[in-house]
Amino acid sequence: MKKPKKVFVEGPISPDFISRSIAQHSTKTGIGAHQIFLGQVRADILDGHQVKAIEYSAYETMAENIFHDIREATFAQFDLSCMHIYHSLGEVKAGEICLFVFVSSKHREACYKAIHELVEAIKAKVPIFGKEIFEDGAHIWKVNT
Amino acid sequence: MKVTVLLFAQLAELFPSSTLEIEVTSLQEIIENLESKNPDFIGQQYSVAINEEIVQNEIALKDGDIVALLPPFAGG
Repeated sequence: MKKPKKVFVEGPISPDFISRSIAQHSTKTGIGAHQIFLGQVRADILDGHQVKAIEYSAYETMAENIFHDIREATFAQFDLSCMHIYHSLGEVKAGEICLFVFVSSKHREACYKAIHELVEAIKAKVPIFGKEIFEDGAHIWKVNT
Repeated sequence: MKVTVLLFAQLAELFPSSTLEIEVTSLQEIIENLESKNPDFIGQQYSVAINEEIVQNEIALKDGDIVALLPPFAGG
């Protein structure tokens, strides 16, 4: 088995990191389509309290293995040239990016479908937990819907 | 047999430590042990992973197993 690619990054994913990631593909001229999904922390209001940040934690070793399985299954299903997945750990403030999924292919159709499958699989299968922290310091635990 | 129990997120908040080494014979016994340590554990939602594989039903534990109790996922 190949060594799983590192997915987790500490803190938010910066727009600069995302732009550099796009730039790195300019030499791969067989690619005709990129598709990107960005997850952003929402300032939800729950019971009158506004979320200021989400603190992410994970069962990291299991999560990295599941990310690897999801990658392999998606490569097997769609004709993709490359795929990158990054997810935050630790605190990510409202308005900042916590998930960056990037797929590339020769043609657009594979990208559209793959990105949808990937994001849904990540949300459903990966043991990541989110503590929603309110302005007043209280917190609740987020549940994916 | 001795197993390691890993608790995450809201489940970890219920106990002094998120890692427990306990002598048990079954998954059910782990649950009962945690419920007796803190009754707030009763009724919590979680899935169970044994050695990083999600299990749906009660399965036989082995000495040294790592049993993780995983609250609802919130990635993305």
